[in-house]
Amino acid sequence: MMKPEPQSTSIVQADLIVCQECDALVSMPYEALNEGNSMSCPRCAGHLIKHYRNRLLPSLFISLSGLFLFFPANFLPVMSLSVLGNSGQNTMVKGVYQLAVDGYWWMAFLVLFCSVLVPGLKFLLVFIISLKAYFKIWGRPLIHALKLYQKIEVWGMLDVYLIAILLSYIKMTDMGDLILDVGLFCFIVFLLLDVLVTTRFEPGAIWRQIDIEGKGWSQLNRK
Amino acid sequence: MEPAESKVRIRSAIQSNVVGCSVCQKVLRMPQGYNQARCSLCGSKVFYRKPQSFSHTMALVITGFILLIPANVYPVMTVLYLGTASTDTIISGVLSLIDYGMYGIALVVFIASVAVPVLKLFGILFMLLIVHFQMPLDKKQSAQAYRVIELIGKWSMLDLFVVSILVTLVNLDAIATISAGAGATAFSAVVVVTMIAAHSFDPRLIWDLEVKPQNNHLTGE
Repeated sequence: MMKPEPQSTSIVQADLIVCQECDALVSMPYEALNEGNSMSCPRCAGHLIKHYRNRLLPSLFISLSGLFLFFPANFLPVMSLSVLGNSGQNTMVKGVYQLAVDGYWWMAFLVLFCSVLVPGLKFLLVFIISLKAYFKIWGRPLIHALKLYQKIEVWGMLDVYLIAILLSYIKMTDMGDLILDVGLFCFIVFLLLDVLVTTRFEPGAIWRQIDIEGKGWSQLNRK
Repeated sequence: MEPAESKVRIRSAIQSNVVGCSVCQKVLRMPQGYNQARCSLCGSKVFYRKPQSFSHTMALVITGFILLIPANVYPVMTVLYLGTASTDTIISGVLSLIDYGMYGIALVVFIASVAVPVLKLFGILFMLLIVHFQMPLDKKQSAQAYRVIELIGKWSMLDLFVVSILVTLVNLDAIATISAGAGATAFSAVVVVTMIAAHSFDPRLIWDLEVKPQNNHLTGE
């Protein structure tokens, strides 16, 4: 029943949209939406389409600041606890290290992946993608970067980590002197930049631009 | 939307041999007789429906239910305070928070690490049952439920992050140390498995009950 897949498929008329959640076929010219407006699916009420804004420069600068903050946010102490002269200190990376040393490599990997690697990689990818799209350097690397960004986006969990810091703080206040450190402020700014970049940077806008410029996968293939 | 308008049957893309790319949203015509192709814009594989979505999701949900047992039986962390060790499972952690009078945090921890994973697993299982037994439920509400399930999944990671913070913070040699426990490993596996399960479930299967695609074999089930 499964035949080998054909290399590419022909394109249908431009004003058709397919809902990702319920597969509804909606006829709707993209230009009919005002810039920045989005439309939900008439059948399942899920997100259907958004008229993208061209915001390459903001996402370029936000991602650059995020990259600058990556090391302070991850390596500076977030908080420290001292009881009777002994003190322990927490940094994002140290938590991972401690878990790995204790033999919990799976948890260490998960914390490292969700709260360190993915946010960092997100900023790096947004930086590369916006830079390339801004200077119109189309090609396979850009397409790969966009696809990777969309894949890892769901695994970024900085917001959960912030609540975890808050919970640990409340849990441990009775135990001894608990001091919030400079790393926490770096982390909060890092988190805000992450939220900004997730809302400002729209992969769909870049896909659309690639489509309009005629630099899609199959067009690059033909060369 | 006007009530009269919502009565109008909306066609599914599959009925016109059209498919929307899940990565770049490009609308493509599927070549006749095929059920997978490569997107001309982004080069990813496009399917009418995610292949074997039902069985993949079911396998992951069962795995999740099995993993829930060690996650709740084994301790999540061990606290060594002035020479006496005490272990905490997820449930006993919540109970001891209530004992200390920290009701707010107890509620947050309970929601994040008990209610969300369990409800999520049952939610996805319910979606699968709707699809399998073709239950005549409100499709729009099911779709909404699926969206919520996808959204809340990552918050179960909260307890795991708290453990990763506490193991470094409370590392005071003779006075107090906190170390992770085997339950935390199992619990984090539950979170990951449910997140992948929610992702592998294809919500379009719910809507296929309403608009039957003529070629059932094309959906890959």
